[in-house]
Amino acid sequence: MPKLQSGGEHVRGQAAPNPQEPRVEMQQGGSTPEPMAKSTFWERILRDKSAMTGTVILAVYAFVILFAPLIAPHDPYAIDVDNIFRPPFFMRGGTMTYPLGTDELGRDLLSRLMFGMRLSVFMSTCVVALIVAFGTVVGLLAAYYGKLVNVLLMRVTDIQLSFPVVVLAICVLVYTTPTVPAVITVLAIGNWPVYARVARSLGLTEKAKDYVKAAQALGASGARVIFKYILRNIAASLLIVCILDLGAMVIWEAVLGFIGLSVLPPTPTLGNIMGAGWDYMVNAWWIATLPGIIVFFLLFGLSLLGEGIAGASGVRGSMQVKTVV
Amino acid sequence: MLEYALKRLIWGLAVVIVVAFAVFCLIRVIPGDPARLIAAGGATPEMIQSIRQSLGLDKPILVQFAGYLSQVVRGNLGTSIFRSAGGSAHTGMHEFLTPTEETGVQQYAKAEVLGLIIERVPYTLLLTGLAMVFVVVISFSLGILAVLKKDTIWDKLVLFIAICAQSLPNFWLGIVFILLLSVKLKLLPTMGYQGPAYAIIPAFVLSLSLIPLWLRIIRLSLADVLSANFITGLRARGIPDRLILFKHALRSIAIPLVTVFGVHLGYLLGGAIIVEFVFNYPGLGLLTIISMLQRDFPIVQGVVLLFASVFVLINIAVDIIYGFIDPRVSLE
Amino acid sequence: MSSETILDVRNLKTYYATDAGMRKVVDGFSFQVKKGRVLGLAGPGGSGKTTVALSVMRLIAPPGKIISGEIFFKGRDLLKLPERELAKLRGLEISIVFQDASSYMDPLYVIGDQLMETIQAHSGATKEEARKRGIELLTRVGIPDAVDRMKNFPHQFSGGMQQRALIAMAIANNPTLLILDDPTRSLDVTIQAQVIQMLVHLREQTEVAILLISSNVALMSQFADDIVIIFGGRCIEMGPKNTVLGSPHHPYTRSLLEAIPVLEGERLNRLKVLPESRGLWEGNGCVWYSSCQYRMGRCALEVPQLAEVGEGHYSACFLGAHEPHKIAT
Repeated sequence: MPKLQSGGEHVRGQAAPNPQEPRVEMQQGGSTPEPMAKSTFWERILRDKSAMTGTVILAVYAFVILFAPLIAPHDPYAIDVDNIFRPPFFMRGGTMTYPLGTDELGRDLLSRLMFGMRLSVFMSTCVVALIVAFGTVVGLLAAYYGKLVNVLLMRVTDIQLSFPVVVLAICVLVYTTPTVPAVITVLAIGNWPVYARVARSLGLTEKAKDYVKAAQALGASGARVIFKYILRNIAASLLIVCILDLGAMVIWEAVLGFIGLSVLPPTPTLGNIMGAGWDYMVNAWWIATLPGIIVFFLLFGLSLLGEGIAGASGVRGSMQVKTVV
Repeated sequence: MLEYALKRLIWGLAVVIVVAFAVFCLIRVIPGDPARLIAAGGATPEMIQSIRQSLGLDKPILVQFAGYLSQVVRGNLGTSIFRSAGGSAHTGMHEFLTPTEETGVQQYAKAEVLGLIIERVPYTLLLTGLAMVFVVVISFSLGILAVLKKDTIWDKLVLFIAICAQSLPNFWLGIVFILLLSVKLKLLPTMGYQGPAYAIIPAFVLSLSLIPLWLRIIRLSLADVLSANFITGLRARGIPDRLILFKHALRSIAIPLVTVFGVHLGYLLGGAIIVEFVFNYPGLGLLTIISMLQRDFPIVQGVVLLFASVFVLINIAVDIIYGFIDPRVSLE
Repeated sequence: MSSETILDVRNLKTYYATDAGMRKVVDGFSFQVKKGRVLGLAGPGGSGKTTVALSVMRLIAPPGKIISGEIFFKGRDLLKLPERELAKLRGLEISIVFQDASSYMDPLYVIGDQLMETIQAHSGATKEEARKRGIELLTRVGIPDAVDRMKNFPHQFSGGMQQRALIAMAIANNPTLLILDDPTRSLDVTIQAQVIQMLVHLREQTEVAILLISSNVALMSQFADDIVIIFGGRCIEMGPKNTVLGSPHHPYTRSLLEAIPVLEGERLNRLKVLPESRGLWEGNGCVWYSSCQYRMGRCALEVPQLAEVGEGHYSACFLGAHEPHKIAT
């Protein structure tokens, strides 16, 4: 059984060069945020290899998303009846004309994926922006003013968390035309409670800290305290949650698209490409499968970056923040 | 303790009612008239109207809801619009016409919503239960491994696994599994259900969306706890490491885990819906989706009511369990 | 009357790696604790006292590390023992009582459980036997209604009782060496007195060797037999209590004693402020150099070794045994 060790001082830094053979030892968790004496945030994050890898990945995605109309090989809506179900270039029967193959209408999958990614990411960004803005404000208000606002918030979010977002989404989107704003709205409504709760718990922690009392003693008004001071201090945590949520929203859109509740074809989104491809799994598996890989790498990059920021800013466990109810 | 539970239960009831009402309204208010659907093409407005009447859709919403509630309390969650008691779904307007109409068509008895739900519950329970087992086993083993070998390659590997698992849309993974195991390799049949073994892969896919979060919490909390002074105290008294880990450390991280579990239940149920859809697994989720697409209101309502109630109950239970685990917590 | 040496620490060095560099928290420290006698380890905050205690028990965790030295316990070098053997010693032969007792007990288990756990970990006692012994121990450390108290959680005890419970756990298995890390710091004066009383009793009844760590000089004078002063991770003076306290040699010790507010005489006006030791002593010479009123050029360049300045009295200072010095009156 590997050895347990514990105790010791909470001092950050790298371990001294160890003359003895490295025994496998359990090490203490250094998770309290401490002022990093010697390096700045930027220095640390630039040094972090995995965070930088994540940034590179995201840069690639950003590039593709921004320049899709220029770099996509084909028009994502262009139908080519002679070339339906072409496999990707690395398989027998594939060509470089349609590098990732084509779908049931002969449309180039690569181009569709590029534009699909564009739309999916756009929608996710909107959702995250909405819920962060709204959820944070509400959450902080609840944390700061307490009492009625607090109870109200908790009850409302209780209700909203009461059933899976999927059901909510299904309810709404089956009956209205799933346009881009509609999908954004549904996802926003479904996910804001989590943000509010997160912001609330962060706010509560901050509220107990001395600088808040100091600001209050100096006569700062409530709004001022919240927005000038508290917000600044929780910005790092929120940023991390945002980054990770962006990925989560992309997945949400994919889920909805898969069951046909996101923007409808022919407009390509990552979700509806997968959904359409589902029907053709047997003979054209790439249609449903490749988008997943795209999503995977996007999220992977986001996660790496998020973790990197969390590490460099000394904020504890990015994921732990999200789970507070 | 008891009065706290009671208070929470009452709140919970309120929550459930609000949720049910919300869904109730949502379904009825949004376009997509079931009466018209049932009537299909070629129906006269009078026929559609009488169908609406027989479904009670022409009364004001609150009245409808009140009526619904009174039925629920009596254990009647309504009858499906489309599914017949015999098990197959029939549509068609002739079933709604009263016997005095001359249709010459047999009337089909409609399936009871409650019955449909109850029939499906065991499957979903099996799926989610198995998924939770996977989650607990996998995240604990990996989490403990990561903490014991912190800052070594194992720790980084575990973190990598966590990131990968949360970067995958879980239904996509389901698709891939189906593709590989059934279509390409023809190893295992994965879709549908012909025995409990069919729940394994869907459960695994479902668990993957929860594992990353659990893993991180376990890893973080455990690392935190192990650097706490009381652990040093225990070691100073010569308590064996194994005992410290399993008796003391794990108990200390139980609290954040229990909280997460409460929240996760919602995700679990939601995720189950999608997974069931992908794998054609005959549980509540599949029922929900298909009913939604068919606009079979009573079923959707019944399911939502069930989900809401379960979720609320679990949350209350979580709070009460808190009180048992952590003696410092006083329930207000 | 020479007693058997239970603990013999030689040239202990424990360093911590920090962002600001390597901190030499304990930098070449030696001392001995004898059977039946109390060694007081005194020094200011940050001087490395607790680290010494943790090092002896080998409870130092990264980023701290015991760099070198020897820790002989009953003749065996603890630094060379495998972890398994150490675990057997801890709680059985060597026990430690920490300051801030409450944070050293598991908040989720009742006191009785934790007490019994310690007992059962080192003996083959049954649950019932352990329970009886637990009650006996709690009573012995002066906790009333021991039977009921066994079922309490740590947070239900007052500070003083928590400390005593921790002591109970420490003496449960009749250790040969007991380390007390500032046991009275977080207690109010009346409780302090009770705890000390209890320790005096304990010492009379058993022949336990005690290492008493404290910055409280008064406690030292009451309870210790010998004293060793630590500053900046190094030993700067050691000897029998009366000698060290009565005729301190090292300038730091003298400042320390002078700083004790005296209620009569001219010293009433100002409290002397002593610098805290920061342990990041970059220089080559004496740790007390920058604050020493007797300093010489040599002091900045060479580390003064412990030299005998009296019968059994050692001081790490270049001032010889007979240098003129003033003692505060």
